Amino acid sequence: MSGATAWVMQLDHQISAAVGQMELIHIVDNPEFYKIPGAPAYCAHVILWNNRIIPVMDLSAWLNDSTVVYSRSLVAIAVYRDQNNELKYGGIHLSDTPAMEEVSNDQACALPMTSNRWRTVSISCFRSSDNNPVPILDVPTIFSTALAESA
Amino acid sequence: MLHAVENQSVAGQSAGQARKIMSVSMGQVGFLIAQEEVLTFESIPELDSRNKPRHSLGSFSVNGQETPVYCLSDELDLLDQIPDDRETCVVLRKDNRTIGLICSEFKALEYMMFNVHNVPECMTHHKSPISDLCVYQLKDGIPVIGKILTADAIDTYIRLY
Repeated sequence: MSGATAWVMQLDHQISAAVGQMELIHIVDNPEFYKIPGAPAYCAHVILWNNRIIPVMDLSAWLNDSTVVYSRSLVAIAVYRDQNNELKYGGIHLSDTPAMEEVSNDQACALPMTSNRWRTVSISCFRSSDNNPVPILDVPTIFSTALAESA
Repeated sequence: MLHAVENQSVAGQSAGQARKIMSVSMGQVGFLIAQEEVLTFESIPELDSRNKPRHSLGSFSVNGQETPVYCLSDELDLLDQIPDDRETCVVLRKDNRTIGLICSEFKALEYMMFNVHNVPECMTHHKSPISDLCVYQLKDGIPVIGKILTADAIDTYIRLY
């Protein structure tokens, strides 16, 4: 039985998703958001982090095609390699501080039925310790044009 | 009334690009335009509606050149009426042509550093006149993010709108 460590993130008060331990590198609490006019509603803002411009993805809004009002401005900074193998950074809106969880292969399960868009942004799914399905996010896909193309 | 665009000395740092930049606001949204792309600023001119290219509000003559004038909303939609808060027209150079853009305010920026970044891929699916983003510092040293408009990007945006 092989396993790995994942960060389980609350995308809103109902939706959880996970990324690999090494994919989440920082949490920014209450950053200044800069709106980019004309950008998709689910990714309408950027933040400044370590002198880099980071797009902030509101996955809950994209999954549900709706607007989310966050009581707390928390952004997870994820690192990934793009299709040119360049190191890139992206932000994911969270509603709470992420928690680390050990995950093994025998926890694999089907994606949640709550949105058929999970298939676009997930590489697999596991049943968490509280018995909820938690999709594992495909980080490079999230920060590509794939979300706009499948919206 | 014409306002000559004054060159402003800028203290550049090696970490960034030294550029002369105008800050232009359209309603509640601010943009940056390189000074070399700006021919002039004018009070909102009397527009000739007989010569009205697609999506423009009309045109007027700048130095004898017919200049179509456009107006963008806060969300970058092309408007067919000028909102009350717009008082100025920035005239941009585009190759051998000129383009007018209605704006609210403008000022020359004093900055210390200017680093240009691509608009993130996940935000670029929709056509946009924003060519790049940038990080720049004002005199107080606090870095801020700016949105860069170019005459070329605006021209392409209008053609594809």
